Amino acid sequence: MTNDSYKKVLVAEDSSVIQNLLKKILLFENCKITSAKDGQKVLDIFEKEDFDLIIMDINLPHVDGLEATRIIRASNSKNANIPIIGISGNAKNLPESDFIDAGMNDYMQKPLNYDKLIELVKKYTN
Amino acid sequence: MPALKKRVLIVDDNAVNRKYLKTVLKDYDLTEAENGIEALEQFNTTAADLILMDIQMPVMDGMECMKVLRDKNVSIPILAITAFSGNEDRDKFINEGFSDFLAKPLPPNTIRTVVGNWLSPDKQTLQVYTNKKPDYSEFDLDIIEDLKKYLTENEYKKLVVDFIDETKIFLNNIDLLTNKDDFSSIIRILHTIKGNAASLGFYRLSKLSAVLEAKLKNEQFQNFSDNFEAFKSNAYASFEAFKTQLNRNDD
Repeated sequence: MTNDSYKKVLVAEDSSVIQNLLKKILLFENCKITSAKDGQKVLDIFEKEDFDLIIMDINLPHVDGLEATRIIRASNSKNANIPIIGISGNAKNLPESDFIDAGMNDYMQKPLNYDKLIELVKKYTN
Repeated sequence: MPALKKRVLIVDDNAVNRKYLKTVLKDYDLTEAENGIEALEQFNTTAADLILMDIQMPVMDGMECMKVLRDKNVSIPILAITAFSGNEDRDKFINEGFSDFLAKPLPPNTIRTVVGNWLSPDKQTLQVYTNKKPDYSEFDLDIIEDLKKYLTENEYKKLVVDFIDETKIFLNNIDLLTNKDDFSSIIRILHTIKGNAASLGFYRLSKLSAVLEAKLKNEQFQNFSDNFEAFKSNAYASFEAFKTQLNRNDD
């Protein structure tokens, strides 16, 4: 199953449009994307599969992105330290410390800067 | 607590009201004035980040004082405090140039929430406070150029068409949620539309979502159906504008 030539990225984002967009853009970085539409699905998928990176929207239904990150960090999984990049619709409303305290490695604000996204993906997967 | 306290100017001719507001807002750096003229003098000496303005005052009333400030291009939030409470009054105050409207009686938490929201950094980038109506440009061309670095023309078009379809579904969902008064879900969906629209270069739609989201977060639920209908027609206008632009490019 595992193929070292590509990176496995879990994208947690409730909009399928943004999911498709991220899929297309991350193709440039040779990423294989798995999508989850809410925080609970992220946790379910995280338990069963290995990933190189999680890109996590904050504003997710059921379990939000910050909470999902806290649960992952507190878990006993061998992947508990996986890099997590947060995406927020309004980073300005949340202090940076909220993202970092929850355990995220980095975060980006919408509108997404696609160059920065690629840069971050490179940084955390190489 | 922020390192630097925000300054609030309290303008009210009634000493008891001023004292009440000062007690409620004690965590801010406060200045005060007894009427419109004093407020202008006070503001000239010590600028404020936000003004709470009573309407009925001797010498110069709140409406006149606000207009003088707006004419001088003072763009900070100016909130009217009045005993009026009808929706027509609200629209009148907002149209004249007030940023918001607080109707008496005012519980301490309402004052703190509204003032806090208007002073949050997010809010300041979202709102245009001048007495001119906000006039956002339809698309953010920088974002669209950026996207086209990664997407072919056809991929880009397909993405926007999907975005429009998805947003229409979101708008229908909001209609259903409005009937159930489920405002927290509506806020979440508006937040999604705001972020998606911004990421695809639909600048105006993103800004309008932000304004509506901010209103709901301020618990301004009254008039929501009307506001949402206006928002919807704006959204559909944006979709049409996109199609028009596509057709123009195809010619």
